[in-house]
Amino acid sequence: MSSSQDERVPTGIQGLDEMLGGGLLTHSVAVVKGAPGTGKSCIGLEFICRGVKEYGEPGLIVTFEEFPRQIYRDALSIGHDLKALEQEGRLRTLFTSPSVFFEEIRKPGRLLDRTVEELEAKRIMVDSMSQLERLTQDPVELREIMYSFLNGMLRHGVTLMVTQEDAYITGDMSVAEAGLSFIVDTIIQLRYVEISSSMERAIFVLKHRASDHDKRIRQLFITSQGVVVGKPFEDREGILSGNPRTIRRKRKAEEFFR
Amino acid sequence: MLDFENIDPRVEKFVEEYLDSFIAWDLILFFHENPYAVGTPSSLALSIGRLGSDIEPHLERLVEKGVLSREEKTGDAEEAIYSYRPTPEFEKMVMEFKRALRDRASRLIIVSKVLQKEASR
Repeated sequence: MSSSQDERVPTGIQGLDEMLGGGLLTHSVAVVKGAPGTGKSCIGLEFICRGVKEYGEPGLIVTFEEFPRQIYRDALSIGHDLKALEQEGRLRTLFTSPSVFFEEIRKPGRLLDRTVEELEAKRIMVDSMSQLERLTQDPVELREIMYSFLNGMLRHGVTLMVTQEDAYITGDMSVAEAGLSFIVDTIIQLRYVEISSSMERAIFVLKHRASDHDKRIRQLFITSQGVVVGKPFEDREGILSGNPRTIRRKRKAEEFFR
Repeated sequence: MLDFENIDPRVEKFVEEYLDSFIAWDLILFFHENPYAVGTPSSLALSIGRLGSDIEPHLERLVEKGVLSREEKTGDAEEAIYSYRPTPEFEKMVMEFKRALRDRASRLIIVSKVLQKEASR
């Protein structure tokens, strides 16, 4: 796959596209992973809404857990009126169960085929892949389901962003739940970081296939105007532990004991 | 005496034609608020906190009335799949119904009508 700029699909999120060298790869799958509340769904909503508004690319949101009315509310809080975009026929928020959707993906001319065709969708967001775990307890079968699930959507020539929930709030980090990390092209990891007795959000790109990317861990802000990726955490180390130390303090301690 | 005298005629028509049970009430409001919801009786039942076997006949009646559409079972699928297909006129009636529910007196009248219908079935 070429990594030239013209084959990129910008997320439209300030700061994230720079981290990704211009955006996601066309017709690829990106997973946004993180603990509850880290901002996975917000990044997915931004990807879809900015795609519609700034790049003229209709989008489909598939939700398995949160009711659309909750998603409409969440989207409004970051500056996107999903209902208005739905009325304009540029977006749809599909609420269903993983089993129904998986069944429908595999049948020609059914729900997914019709919806993508009607909308002329170019972007799809699925929230969340963790719900597919309801379909089987066998890890091998689950991996096959995820693979088939993603390919069933990709055959429509869309660019796909999916979310996956991490079990840990801070500290331990797992990469390959059900092998999803091996199937996808891009992994965007969100983390909580404790700084001065307050929880802040961090974002970094763990994998970006066939492309160079920013390896630094950056600050993530969720504002009423949308999601903003800020500067790298400076002068700190151990960010991924969730409990970083300032490098200055460490050096001082080393000097003291020298 | 609770009657429809002081209620919008569109709400009266809506209750007479579509609200024959509290499950139909729940289903219509659920689909109105989540217009692109798609599900089987069991998955929709989870969404409204009811039993799949209880809601299936109501889903079928809403299909007959043209409010929902049903995808026939195919392949290994065990249940039919339902989605919302309202006319603009129906959507207006639901909005008027929701408005009427905000008024306590209107709400009582509507509840009593649905109770009567449930009792007579």
